[in-house]
Amino acid sequence: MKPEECNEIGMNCTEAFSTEFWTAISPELVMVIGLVALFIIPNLGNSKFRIPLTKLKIPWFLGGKRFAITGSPAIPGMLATATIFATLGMMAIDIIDGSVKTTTITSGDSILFKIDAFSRFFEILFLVAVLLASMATLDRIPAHTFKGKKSMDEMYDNRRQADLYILLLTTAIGMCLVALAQDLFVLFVGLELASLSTYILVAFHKESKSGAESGVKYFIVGSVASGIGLYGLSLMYLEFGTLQLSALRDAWSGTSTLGIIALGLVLVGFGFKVSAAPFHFAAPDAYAGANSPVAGVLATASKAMGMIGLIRVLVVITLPDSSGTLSEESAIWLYAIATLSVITMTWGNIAALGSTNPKRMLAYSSVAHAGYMLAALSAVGAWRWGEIDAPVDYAQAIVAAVLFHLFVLVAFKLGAFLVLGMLEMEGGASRLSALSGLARRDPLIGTAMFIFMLALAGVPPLAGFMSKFLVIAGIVSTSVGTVWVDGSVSFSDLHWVWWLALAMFLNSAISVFYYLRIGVVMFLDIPEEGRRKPLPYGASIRMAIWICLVATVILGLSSDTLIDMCYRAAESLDWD
Amino acid sequence: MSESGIIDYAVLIPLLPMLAFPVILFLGRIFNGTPTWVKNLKEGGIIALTVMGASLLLALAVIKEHMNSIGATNVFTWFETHWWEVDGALTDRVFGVGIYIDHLTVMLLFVAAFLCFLINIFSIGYMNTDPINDNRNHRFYAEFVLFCSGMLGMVLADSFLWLFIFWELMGLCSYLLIGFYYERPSAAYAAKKAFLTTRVGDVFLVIGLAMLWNMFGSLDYAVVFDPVEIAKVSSSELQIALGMMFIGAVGKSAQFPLHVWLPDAMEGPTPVSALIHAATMVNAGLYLVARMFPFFQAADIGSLSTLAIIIACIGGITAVMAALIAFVQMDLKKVLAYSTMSQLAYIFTGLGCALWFANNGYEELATFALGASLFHLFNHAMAKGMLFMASGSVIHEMHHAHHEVAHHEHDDDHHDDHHDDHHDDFDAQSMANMGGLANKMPITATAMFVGSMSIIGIPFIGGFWSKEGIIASAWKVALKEPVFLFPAMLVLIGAGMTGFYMSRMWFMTFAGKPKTDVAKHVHEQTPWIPIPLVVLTFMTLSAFILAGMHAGAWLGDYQSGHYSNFFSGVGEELQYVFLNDDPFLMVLTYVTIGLSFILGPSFAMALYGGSLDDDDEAKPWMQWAIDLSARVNKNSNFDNSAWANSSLAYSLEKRLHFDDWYDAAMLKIVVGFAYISAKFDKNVIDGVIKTIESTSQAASAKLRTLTTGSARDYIMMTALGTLAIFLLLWGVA
Amino acid sequence: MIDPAWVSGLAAILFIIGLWGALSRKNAIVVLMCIELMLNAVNLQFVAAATHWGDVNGWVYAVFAIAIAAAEVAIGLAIFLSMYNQHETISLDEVNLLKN
Repeated sequence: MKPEECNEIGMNCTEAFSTEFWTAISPELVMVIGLVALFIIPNLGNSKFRIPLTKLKIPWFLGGKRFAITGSPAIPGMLATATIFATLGMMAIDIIDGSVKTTTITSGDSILFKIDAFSRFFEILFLVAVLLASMATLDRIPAHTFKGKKSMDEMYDNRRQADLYILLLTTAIGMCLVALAQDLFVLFVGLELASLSTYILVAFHKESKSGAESGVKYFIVGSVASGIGLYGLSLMYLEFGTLQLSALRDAWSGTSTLGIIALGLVLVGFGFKVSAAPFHFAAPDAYAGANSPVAGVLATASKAMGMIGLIRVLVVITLPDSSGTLSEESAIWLYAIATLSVITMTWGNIAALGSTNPKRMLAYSSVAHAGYMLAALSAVGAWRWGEIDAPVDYAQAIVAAVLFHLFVLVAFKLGAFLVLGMLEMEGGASRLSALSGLARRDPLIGTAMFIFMLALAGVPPLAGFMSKFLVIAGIVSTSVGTVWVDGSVSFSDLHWVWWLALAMFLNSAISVFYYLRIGVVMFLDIPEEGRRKPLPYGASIRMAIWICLVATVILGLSSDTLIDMCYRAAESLDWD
Repeated sequence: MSESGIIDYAVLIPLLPMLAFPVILFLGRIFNGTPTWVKNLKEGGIIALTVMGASLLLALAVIKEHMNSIGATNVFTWFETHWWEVDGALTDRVFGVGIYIDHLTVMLLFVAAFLCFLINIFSIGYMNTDPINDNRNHRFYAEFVLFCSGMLGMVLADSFLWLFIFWELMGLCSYLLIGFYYERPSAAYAAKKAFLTTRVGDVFLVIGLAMLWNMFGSLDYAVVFDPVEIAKVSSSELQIALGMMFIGAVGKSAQFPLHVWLPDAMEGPTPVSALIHAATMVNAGLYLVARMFPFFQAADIGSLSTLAIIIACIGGITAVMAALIAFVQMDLKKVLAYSTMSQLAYIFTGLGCALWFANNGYEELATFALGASLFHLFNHAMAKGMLFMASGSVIHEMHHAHHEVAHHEHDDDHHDDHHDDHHDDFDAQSMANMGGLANKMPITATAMFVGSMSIIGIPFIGGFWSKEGIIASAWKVALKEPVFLFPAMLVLIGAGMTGFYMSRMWFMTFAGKPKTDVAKHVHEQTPWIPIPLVVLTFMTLSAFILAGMHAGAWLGDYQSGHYSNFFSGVGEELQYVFLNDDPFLMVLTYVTIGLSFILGPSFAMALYGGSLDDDDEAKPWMQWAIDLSARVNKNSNFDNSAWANSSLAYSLEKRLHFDDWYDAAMLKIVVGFAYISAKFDKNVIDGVIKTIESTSQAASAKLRTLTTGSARDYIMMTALGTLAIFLLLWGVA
Repeated sequence: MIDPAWVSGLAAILFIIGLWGALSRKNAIVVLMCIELMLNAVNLQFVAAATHWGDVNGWVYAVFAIAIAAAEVAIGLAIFLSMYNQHETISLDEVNLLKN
């Protein structure tokens, strides 16, 4: 819509590339500037450029013998971490008073981006995850200063510093684009930017067989899936003539065949990103072959990115309107998503039960968590199914619960991966025995890992309990709706979505086994040969683990601020 | 009714000791044995003292603020939900921690904080001067502060849930502290016995709490005591729930039939006995029953009289039973243990009467009875704490004297092993080895003298002001409800018995000639020990001031706030006691005084009295008693050998065979059942678990084989998934 | 002009061929080519839709999609190169160390 129109209805519209535009996207701009700096600064050297046909040499600082300061291999890491930190700071200041000024960025007739509570929430989530991963990578793939002999591995590490951090930054930028997007294709571009960067990050350790292999598998399956998703988008475009979120929402009709086909294909694309079954097969391999901080980012931020896509498609576009009390049209994807969610949770939990590789186990556990969130989305779908009459607060509460769950996953899932990262620093974390006796070798890290496991299992009073509780409570209250009679509800009155909550509950019970098994191994087993010494020092990765630990505990005890943020984010979606 | 102010800091009162627990523990482990730690910090004693002092100051500030008002505040809200359903309407429920202060809290807060502090001083003197405790006192002090935090937390809690949580914390610390000398099998056994017996009570307590939750939807006082909510609840269900909770109180306060753990609990060091088993933890049960008062008071609740009767009867039975067993005890601490049991039983009787009165609409009488019971709790706590500390002082000095005597007899080289031999032979706690200590330990003797008088109920001192109230209430109830005649009679007889066994204890220990060499060499040593004794002596003697301030009425009416001013009250109280308008009550009072003050001690003097050694002279306020006892002893030829050798005495020495019955029951019933359960557990339950485990592992392995590692298969599954989604979407549309 | 419906049909056929190829081929490079085929089908579809609706956005989408596809190819080839360096093969069937 035209900027004048949108200003009339109270939205704050900014034309792309105007002055307000630059102020509005200043955080993202900082990231881009950081990225450019990452390209340029490590390459500053004393090269000179000779003007043709003369003998004049003008210093043109790109290339040549690198300066000592800027050529130091530690620069990319610090630069990247500082950039992300600065961006995060700017965004935090933005929402420091609790509310976000909604800014819509348009170009002509189409709305490109919208900065509102929802997008800021996710941007902060992404940046926190990437920041923690970046801090961890400072130690996981450190920049070495050579005092004596140079070893091959160390030189390798130094050469790839810039690549690594550039990739991390592009991932972050891509993910932020996804959060901001108001057009499905723009979302897809951001998705692809982030995905391509993560493909390379997964394949980063090309010196090892597993690294190369995991990269290949992740790339192939991911490309196929996103190809399918893109095709679905194109079909949607064919059917409706637009890929704008708001226009699609208005134009969506549940009866058009092409629309349904398109929806299915798009779900495949996003389903892969979220690692829902049966699209999750590449995930365990990817997590196992990537280094742990990257795997952590995949497990948390990448999944959140996929969920944004799913929420936009499922909740914003395809939910019918609220004309009248019970509408005829319904969320046609309800059965599909509900089935997917049950299969996903069960698959993830059962597969994790027997896993002996901690990274694969965590991968399967993230598959299970994706299942839980899909169950929550099914409840939103059920809410509009027409059999339940409940106010929009219920659905908003469920979406808020999903957002909360995604956020706290960063705290403990990424934390768990970071602990595995520390183990990788001294020689690999691909067997369960790598964790043996960790509590004795390093009590703080061992306890932190145990707390992360407890949080994943959903033990109060940690954050994991809070998030699972909110999700299950949301599903239950939505499935019951407002059909209380005498304070009780008979099973026949319940919508069948309630059974998803039961399934989630049972699956959580199953999952406690493999989380606690890590605790048993850490506390009761003897450290294996070659790992008897204390853990490597790594100040930065330890700080990151501490931040995750503190967040896990505090968000469990008093999570009001975060829940508020989630509620505001959920409300700012286009309901009705 | 909560103003912000000191009550916001009230949470620090239990929190500071709780935080001190790991500090003392860790510092103790790190600095164990270093001279600064041992000498200056008394192995953690000074840290504990500082923390308890801070808690005490805070408690006093809170008390001053809330003498007249009810305070309630929320410390921390974990989360609120809007989904609890009560009667078809959705209400809010808050999960969190809060503080609730009324007169009952104020009284117990004072008792707990004050006694914890004093006993801390005492234990620095007691524990740190005994070489057997070297290098492990930090464990003692750590557990001590944890226990104190439990008690303080319990009295400040604003819901039954947190009451229970701190209740359990105290149970844990009691186990740890009783078993402090864990290398002794008897101590380990006693700790286990204490824990298990109170556990039996706790099971019922949890059932009661669960029933309360079921009825009210919350365990917060604000919800549960609301008359509106109480009116919605059925009285029979409420009675059962409160009965279950009462069983928990029975276990914790060592009443019949869950009393068997208290005498064995004397295995712990004396400060533990003083704190836990006289002054604070056993009062937890009483606190719980006192907290039940609003249920009985509520206008619309049905009849809860059966429960009140049961409470009173259990109180009466325990009072007499414990007194009887105390007749034959030779161990100083065991006499005090049984005395505790008996006095607590008095308070239970009083509470039972108060609850009956409240339930049947007699407001004034209920307030009076409740006030008397709670005031007795206060007096008893002060006096019993002092008595235990004094007994600890005696035992401590007996130990030291024993060492000295052993030194003199064998003046060649000693090794520490020799000392241990002597320890085993000589029982420093047995009154048969004491005697004539009144002049050798004047402060201790005075303390025990005053304490005993308070327990007996000698006019004007300590327990007198409250015991009369309880006995009077019991008889007043008996007039209205004849069933109460049973506990009323028991309580009256018990008064006389109290007089006897307490006097017996004092005279055996302090009067007469020293019975052993060791007793001759006793003398008071460290400065730390007498301080709390002196303080508490003064407290007991000044109980009349509290009585004058109508403490009874103030306590009885604990949910509103009022107190009259000072001295006018004393006259009123005296008049109420001695020159009561009601002739029945006056007769009753004089009978009680006669029994307890005159009859009991006379028998004791006759049997155990006697003057000290010829050139010894005790302090004048005790010397007259000793002289009197000598005269009575000489002039009476009361021979109790027939009693002493009777089968009744034998039964009493065996503690009325309760332990034997429980052991036999345990052995036959419980152990037999345990075998069956073990078999069932191993074969059936473990079998199920193993089956689940192997099935799930097999399922997991099977499922994971689908992840073949080949990228082509992954893409195939993606395609299949696409197909599945289509089918699901289509099938629906 | 060609009726956009035919172009859509062609796109669909191309897509299915590409998908089938990605499913059934062992050679990683061929799979990459099939993925490219799929993405090209998407491009065609965007162009057809843009023509059908007369919306310029469709053309923009198509250009972007081409760029993304190109980037993806570059990355894919680099990843396959590293795979070849390590595993000495580009047959996807033989690269299965990570499994279960």
